[in-house]
Amino acid sequence: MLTILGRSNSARRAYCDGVSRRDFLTIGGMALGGISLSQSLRAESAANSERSHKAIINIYLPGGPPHLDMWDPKPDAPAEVRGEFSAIETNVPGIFVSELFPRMAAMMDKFVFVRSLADSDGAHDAYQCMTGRRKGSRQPPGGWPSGGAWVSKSEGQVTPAIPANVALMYQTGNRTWGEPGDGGFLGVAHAPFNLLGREARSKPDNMVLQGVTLDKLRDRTRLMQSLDRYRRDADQLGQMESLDVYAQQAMGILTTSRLVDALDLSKEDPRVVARYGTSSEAFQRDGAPPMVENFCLARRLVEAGARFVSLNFSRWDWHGSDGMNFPKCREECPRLDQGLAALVSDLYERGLNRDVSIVVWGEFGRTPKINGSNSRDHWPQANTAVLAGGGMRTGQVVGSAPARLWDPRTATESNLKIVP
Amino acid sequence: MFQEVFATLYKCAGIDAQNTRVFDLSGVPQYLVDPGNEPLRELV
Repeated sequence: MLTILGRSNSARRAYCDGVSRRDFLTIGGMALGGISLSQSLRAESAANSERSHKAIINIYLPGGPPHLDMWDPKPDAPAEVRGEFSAIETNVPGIFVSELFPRMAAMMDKFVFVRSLADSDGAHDAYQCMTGRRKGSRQPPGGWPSGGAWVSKSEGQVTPAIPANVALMYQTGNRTWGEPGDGGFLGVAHAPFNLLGREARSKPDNMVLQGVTLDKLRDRTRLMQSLDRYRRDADQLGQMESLDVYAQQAMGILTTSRLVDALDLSKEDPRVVARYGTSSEAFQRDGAPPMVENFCLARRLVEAGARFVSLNFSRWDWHGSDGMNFPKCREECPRLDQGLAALVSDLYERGLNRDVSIVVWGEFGRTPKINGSNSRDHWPQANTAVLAGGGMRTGQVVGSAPARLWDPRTATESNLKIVP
Repeated sequence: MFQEVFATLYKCAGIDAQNTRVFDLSGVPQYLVDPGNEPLRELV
């Protein structure tokens, strides 16, 4: 949800609630004043900016996923480390993965496991996955930009209709799991344009032009007239230059249906959507809902012109006394397996695999040794990131968490360093 | 290292992270990743 401030109109300033009615635009969904954007605006720009561009999809798993039960199995370890899942072969000889990821295993040649993430800040926070930086590190004035902000600053927008830096990040009960980072010292113009909030899906009725009646919005001409009037008013007041950058983005977005179309999965081949698996709208406690369809939306946003898409997926923090690590793995991992396999297959089938990079990770790994509740505790010392696409040399494992790391008798300060 | 992963992603996105600098609000040059974080050489 995004609110655009129009000019303050003295004739309308005083309402009985004492708040001036300055909200001009509120954006967040797919309809415009109750009429769906795709109805009132015909897509016309699809043909003219189809050139390929580089992009990054950043899939964040809030909570710290148990990497040993997923992408760094230890089949030769004792039972209290190995856990309940067996390791299976992949289509790359010598690389093994947990049995919960059969689809990824069958296309391991298109993935990379980076098993040497050893510098986690150790906090429950998306920050490091969004910026690369440790939150506790010394920050420049204005703060560190998110990765998407750097890309936005460096590369600019592909089309005015789509911000370069987009997020599909749910607001989570644990606030820091839902923060896609910001523009930092690069400024608000490069901050992520977040398309989600507290509801599982963007709703078709929350993109509205306030104060413009429905019949005035019946066709594009009238919409443009109302926007032009807004621009003229803003110009007269000398505000255009300093107009909130969000409003300028909104202008670009509102004048085509490109963003709205990208978010409309009904425009996707249903067989393609089905390959991603079944989404659940249920927020996982203080985390995000496992909306695997957002992987498909991320790809559609990239195709529409986004350069960086961040999203948060489900919740991966299960080491409480209820001992849910293994049951939740059985529930969440197959969905993630299917979604990632579908996304990467999609990129290859569409010829996007050299241009679009994917990273999948959480804020830290989980203890090799299983705790008293049959779960795994926080383990900032080692973590696995999954990479794909981007023209990378895939089918590899980079780095390793050596065997001694999961042996608590020898896991001392001096040998916790992980040598790639 | 998280920043090595970002350096790899930037490289794949066609961005020369090592040689792109932006001045922060106090005029200090800043880089996309801290010096010493190279793209993972096995991958790019």
